[in-house]
Amino acid sequence: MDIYLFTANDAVRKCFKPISGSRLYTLHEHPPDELKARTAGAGEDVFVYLDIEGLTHPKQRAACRVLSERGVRYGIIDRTGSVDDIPLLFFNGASDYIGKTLARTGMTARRLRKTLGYSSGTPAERGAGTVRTADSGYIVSPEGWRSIRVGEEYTFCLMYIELDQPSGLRNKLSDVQFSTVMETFKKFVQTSVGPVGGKPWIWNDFGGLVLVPFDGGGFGVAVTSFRMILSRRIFCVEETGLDIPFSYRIALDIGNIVYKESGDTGTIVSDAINFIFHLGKKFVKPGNFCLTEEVFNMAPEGLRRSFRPCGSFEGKKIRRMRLPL
Amino acid sequence: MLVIPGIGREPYRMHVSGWLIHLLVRALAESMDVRSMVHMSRRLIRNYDLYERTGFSRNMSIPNKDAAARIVRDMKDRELIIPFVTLLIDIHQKGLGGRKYRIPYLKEAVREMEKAGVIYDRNSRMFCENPLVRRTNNWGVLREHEEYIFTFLHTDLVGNTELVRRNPEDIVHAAYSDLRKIVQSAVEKRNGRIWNWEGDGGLAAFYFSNKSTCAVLSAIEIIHELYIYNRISCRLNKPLRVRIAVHSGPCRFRRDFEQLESDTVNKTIEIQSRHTRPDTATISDGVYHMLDGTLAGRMENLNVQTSAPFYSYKLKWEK
Repeated sequence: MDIYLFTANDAVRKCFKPISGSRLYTLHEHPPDELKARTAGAGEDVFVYLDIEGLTHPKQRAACRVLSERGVRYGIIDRTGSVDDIPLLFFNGASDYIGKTLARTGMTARRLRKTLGYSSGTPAERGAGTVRTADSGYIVSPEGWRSIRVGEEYTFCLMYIELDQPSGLRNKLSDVQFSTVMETFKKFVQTSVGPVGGKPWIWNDFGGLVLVPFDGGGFGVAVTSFRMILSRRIFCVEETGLDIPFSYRIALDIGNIVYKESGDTGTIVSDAINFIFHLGKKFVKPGNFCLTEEVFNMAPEGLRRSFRPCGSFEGKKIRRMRLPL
Repeated sequence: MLVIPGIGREPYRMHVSGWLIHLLVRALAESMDVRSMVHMSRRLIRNYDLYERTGFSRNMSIPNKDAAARIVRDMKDRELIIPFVTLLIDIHQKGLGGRKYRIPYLKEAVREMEKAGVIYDRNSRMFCENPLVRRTNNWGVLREHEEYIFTFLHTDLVGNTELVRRNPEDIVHAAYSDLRKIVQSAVEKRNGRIWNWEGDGGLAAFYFSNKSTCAVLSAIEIIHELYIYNRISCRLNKPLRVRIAVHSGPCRFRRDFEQLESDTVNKTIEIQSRHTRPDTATISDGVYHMLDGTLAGRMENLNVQTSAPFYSYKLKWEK
């Protein structure tokens, strides 16, 4: 376990000296102005302690916001007792508070273990990218497809993708070209979603539904979809070999489905499947990428800026990706 | 003397299976007479003397099958199987000495060679190493000092000095490494090769397939991937920004990059440093005209005061 200590104060470093001697934890000391850079991409195995002495209130708030948004577990060191509303720190995502007394007596490995135990129990409160299963009703599959059994209900990330105006394409292309494009498109989707554990599940000639088992973590398929929209011209030139612009639409949602093998899906009755098909076919405009508010909240923070609210559909708020020209 | 692509001073050491030898002997024996076989062999081995090689008396005619077997064995012994098959394909397509030949078993031979790690590139009509098996700077076939037409892609990080000054050293190194991974993936996916990398940028070369399109698509992919990288995983206090140039022209291949002297490479670097804005790729006129309409339509004329126009790609967003 890595403990990142952001402080410019020798007294605080001294307070953490017992931790540096522990075999369970590796202590890394950094100046506070490196917080943003050092915590980007920090995972479950990192706990951050931030010394707020010398930071203005806006800077304190900004630092906490960054940590919360990145889903990084953190504690606040307040050696001078400048924080008035300590519970508010916890409401905003902090997992520990080291005040005047503790800063003087020093941190122990035992106390740190308790802190880590407390913080790991509330992942949803730590920010975006992770979800608390019990409250949300999600049935997570921690091991991806290996956890999935036919006939059981699981939560899946649902991706609807379809080529736009297939009838127009059919007129432009010969039969051989048309079937080649359709095969290439399916292969392109498979190759793109494969690395995030996605599999085309229900597929017709022009597109279909891709399932990604939900592992309770980040929403990798949102990044994949974003990339697919960015690279649609590369797809046209490189994959199809035809000098014809193609476009496709993507819709993303999350929902529970009783899993059945691909090809054996005809009898499934599912609100989640109905919704994603309706969203993709009726709401998303050609060439666009839309996702539900629920998915939006789980998408990486950096990507969220590219999505704009675009109304509601069947009771769910929808956001649309700002398109590349 | 006809230059046969694929003959190298350091030829690619391909494993030649017995089945491939069998196919080539049949291909040769069933497609041409002994005279033509000798004529063809002399394109690869100067003054090739089949009588001397087979031990037949000069006043006897050599049976087709014996001649073919001897020639194929000699090609194998001299590690000339790759140029030999290249030449057979060339003769099958264009003929030899004004005469047409239909050479059988070529598809099977090419398939057998693929198993040994070389693939046939229809655009350049050359064999090259299969990038899934092996990746070398000369694609396994280009010769030292020989001149070829390449398409080059040069990448350079913007504001490197400031980046180094304002970020911890390990984070800067991690960012350099991430940049290299992005460039390498985009380039090698399209059978390009990174010839030189200097931490914050480098030079990639494309020779096979539709090289201009491949280089431009790589440049576009690098810009897209960096955009996503900056949004999601960049640990620097500012986004990582690059300038990319793509240019095509002749260059003598040198295995050692330090010895490479090429106006085309210099021009590529000049386009990158003088005519390219951050987060964009600049494409020279020659490369632009090799692009498909869909791709060319995305390029914007830079209207610079030079003899030939430059075109630029930038990621633009709707308002």
